[in-house]
Amino acid sequence: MQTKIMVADDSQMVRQQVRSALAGAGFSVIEAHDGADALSKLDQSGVALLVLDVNMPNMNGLELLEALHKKDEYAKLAVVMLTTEGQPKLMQQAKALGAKGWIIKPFKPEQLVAVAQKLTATTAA
Amino acid sequence: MSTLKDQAETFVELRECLVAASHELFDAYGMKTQYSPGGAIDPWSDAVMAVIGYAAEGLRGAVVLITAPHVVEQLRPEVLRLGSDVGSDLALRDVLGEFANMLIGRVKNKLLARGLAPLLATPTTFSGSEIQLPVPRSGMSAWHRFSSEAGEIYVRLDATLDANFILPPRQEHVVPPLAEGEMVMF
Repeated sequence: MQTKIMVADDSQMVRQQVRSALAGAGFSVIEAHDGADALSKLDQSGVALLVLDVNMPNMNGLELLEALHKKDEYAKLAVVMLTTEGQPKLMQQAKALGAKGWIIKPFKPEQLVAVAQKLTATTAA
Repeated sequence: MSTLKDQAETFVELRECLVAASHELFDAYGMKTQYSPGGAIDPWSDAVMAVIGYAAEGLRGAVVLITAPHVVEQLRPEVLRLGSDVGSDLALRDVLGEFANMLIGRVKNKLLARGLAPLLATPTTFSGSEIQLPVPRSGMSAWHRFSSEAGEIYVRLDATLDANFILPPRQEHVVPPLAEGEMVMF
């Protein structure tokens, strides 16, 4: 069975880039266009890794991370941030809320695949 | 309190950040550009536009990108140029919106080195013909032209500075933020 990864980003271009990179490496990719959409789609989805933007409408990435952090059922969900933001304060906030990594756009496809393979292997173990 | 001259000098520094960030971004997507300040926008029959607001203590404004649809298509990553939505209005606005997002992110990273961390909005985009943008009623505003083989990209910086706003000098002791394309695992 393919490992499921969700990408939450308000840019269709970024979602397509992530899908292209990860689907090519054998992952199944689910898309969400903002934090609220991601939260509604995560339930019962079996997603192992969430690739999460920070600045999004409705619910931003850090707000979603905080919401997930409060729910036991998402304790094993790995999250990596993919954003244009490089502010150390935001990175510390994400780390405190359980994020496993932080990538500054634009990303390199092979870099994202390596991160996905590492984090989903950890989750599965 | 800063004088009008101080504010003008600050605006020049912000413009320099914007121009450097624009070159870096277009380069990263394989588009070689030549910069020239100002310039009047040609009345294209069709154009795509993206705008993102920003705000820090004492400073607020927006960054505007406007260009022709075929230029946006050139900015689209090669791997996505074969999709079914190529050339659609939604896809073009999305691409330029993400470029606006990445551009203002790069500007913010440059300002972080000076101890300034503006909050960023999400992009608003639209397309149409004969788009006209009024000059902001307050603050300062300037156009920047980036010429490429594909065509012109215009970037406008709007900034309103409070009377007591001073752009801090570069802080040598500040650890530079991650650069674009870099990552860290926690």
